[in-house]
Amino acid sequence: MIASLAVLPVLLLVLGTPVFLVFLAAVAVTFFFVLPLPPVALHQVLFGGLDNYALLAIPFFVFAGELMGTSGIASRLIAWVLAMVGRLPGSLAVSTVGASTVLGAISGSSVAAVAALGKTLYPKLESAGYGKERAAGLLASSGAIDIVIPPSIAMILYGLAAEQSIPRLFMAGILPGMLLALMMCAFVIVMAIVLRIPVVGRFDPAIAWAATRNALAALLMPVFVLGGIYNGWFSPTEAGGFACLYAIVVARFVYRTMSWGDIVRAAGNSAMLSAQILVIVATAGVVTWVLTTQGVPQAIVAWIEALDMSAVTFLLAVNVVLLVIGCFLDPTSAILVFAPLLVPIAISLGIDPIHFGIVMTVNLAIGMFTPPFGLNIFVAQSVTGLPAHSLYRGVLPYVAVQITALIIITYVPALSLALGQAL
Amino acid sequence: MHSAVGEKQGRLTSKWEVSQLAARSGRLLHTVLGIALLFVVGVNVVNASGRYLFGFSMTGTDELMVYTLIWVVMAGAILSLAKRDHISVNLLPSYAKGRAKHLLHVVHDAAAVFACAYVTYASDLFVGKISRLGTKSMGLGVPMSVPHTALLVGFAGLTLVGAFMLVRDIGALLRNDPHREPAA
Repeated sequence: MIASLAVLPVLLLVLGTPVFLVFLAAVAVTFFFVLPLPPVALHQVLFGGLDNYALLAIPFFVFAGELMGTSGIASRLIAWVLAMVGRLPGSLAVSTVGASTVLGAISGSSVAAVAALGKTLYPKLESAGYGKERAAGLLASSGAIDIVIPPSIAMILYGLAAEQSIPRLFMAGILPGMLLALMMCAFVIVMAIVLRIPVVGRFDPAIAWAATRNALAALLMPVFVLGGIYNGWFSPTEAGGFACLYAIVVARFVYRTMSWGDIVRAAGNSAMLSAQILVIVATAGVVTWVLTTQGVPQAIVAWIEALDMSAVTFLLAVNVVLLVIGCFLDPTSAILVFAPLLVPIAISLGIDPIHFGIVMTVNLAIGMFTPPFGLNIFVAQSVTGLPAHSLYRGVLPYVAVQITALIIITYVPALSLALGQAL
Repeated sequence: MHSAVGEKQGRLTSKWEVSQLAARSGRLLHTVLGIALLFVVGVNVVNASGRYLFGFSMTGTDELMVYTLIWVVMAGAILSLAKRDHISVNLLPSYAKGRAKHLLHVVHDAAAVFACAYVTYASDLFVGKISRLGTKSMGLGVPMSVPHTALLVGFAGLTLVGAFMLVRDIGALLRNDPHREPAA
């Protein structure tokens, strides 16, 4: 079973096989050669993995993000953040982090944010004196904040895999997401001072007001979506549907940047991306099911208990393991496979599962831009045209900054839980 | 000689036509998937608005949305496989060139054929069983074989597309001749 469920998947993954086929091949080999399980069980578990109302939130938020990106709303948001930052050392780099954070509050797609910001901000960052590597590294790493700021697809999947409240997870992600953004801003300000990057731009109330008016419809979207969830107007899934409707109205009737044909094309793109995510959800569910029927999670819990590990040591171990896994596996797959294995252990050690979900999400967000396989690195590579090794050097300082933030988030649970308790 | 050239041109035209047909089918499926997603969004908004604003709830809408999504997922998975768009750790394929790249594609295709064929077999067993039982969904009252068939059709489609790509990639590997991916 180790060969079919550990060696084979790693081998196929390294060879670049699509992740859903990695899981499916591992399970098919296990069913066919290793375990005497009835084949119909495979179908039932696959179907059960998709037959879930809460999963509808994923295509909805993907579609809302796609509409925001293709309708030019992203560029209005970038202009707004630039107008707001004003005469600050490193204002352009701070704007990059700020724009990524705002985009995260709309779509939750890290890759889309890197692509959207990269096209607009990379040439400006480079000409402002940040250098190609630092600029590309900043873009790849800022995109990771999107996964932590709600609405977050990673959190929806964690909520489903670990059977936790998605609104509570969304709420818990706000302060850690802000901490990541603030630490990144502080770092780029210091970097700008050290590199003596000339201060560009100035705060002009008239320009700021014009930019705010221009981006107002987009800025109201997270208020509407998250406000609706926390006021009890609608569930996270329904909020996703309303976010799509809102984005269609804004793109078609307010900004008038999309035709109905463009909207159908954007919906087609979103359906494709959602299919790619959800087929992983279904196949990862089968891997987890096989592991559970063979008592693997229980064995791991017993092993951890035998080690007499404290919660502090366990969280440290989890961080190290997930940071390594995050370098190789996308957050969707990693959360679906590892949340069901790790959450029972975390609960048995007295760790709040909501806090643990945020720790997992931040970990895997860092993995999005960690060499060698971080997905954002490849996106930044395609946007900037830089070779991978230059990007590897470029992201390293930001990896250090975000790992520092991760340590704070891990060992200060109040950061994740305070907002939920206060409201 | 003349007829050999003509035969070769005929084969190229036929290949071009197949490629065009695949591209058109891909675009059509892409549009259908987009319309299906818009439909699901519409149902969701109408249902939620009806419940919260007007106090009425439509029976079976949750099932309608979920079952539509399952069909969308399976159709989208087939199209993504044909376009090699699925999420993967693609560092090795992006650096591989020539025969090495073809070899990697052959491995991916073989994994698709083996894994998806096995799931197709499992799905066929299950759909046959549930069709005989005549089970219906609780909300919509549709036969449960309808949503379950999405997996059967989806994995059968994935197997066929995988088999087509496997044959094409083995040919490309043997000839060391790069092929074009179908534009969809």
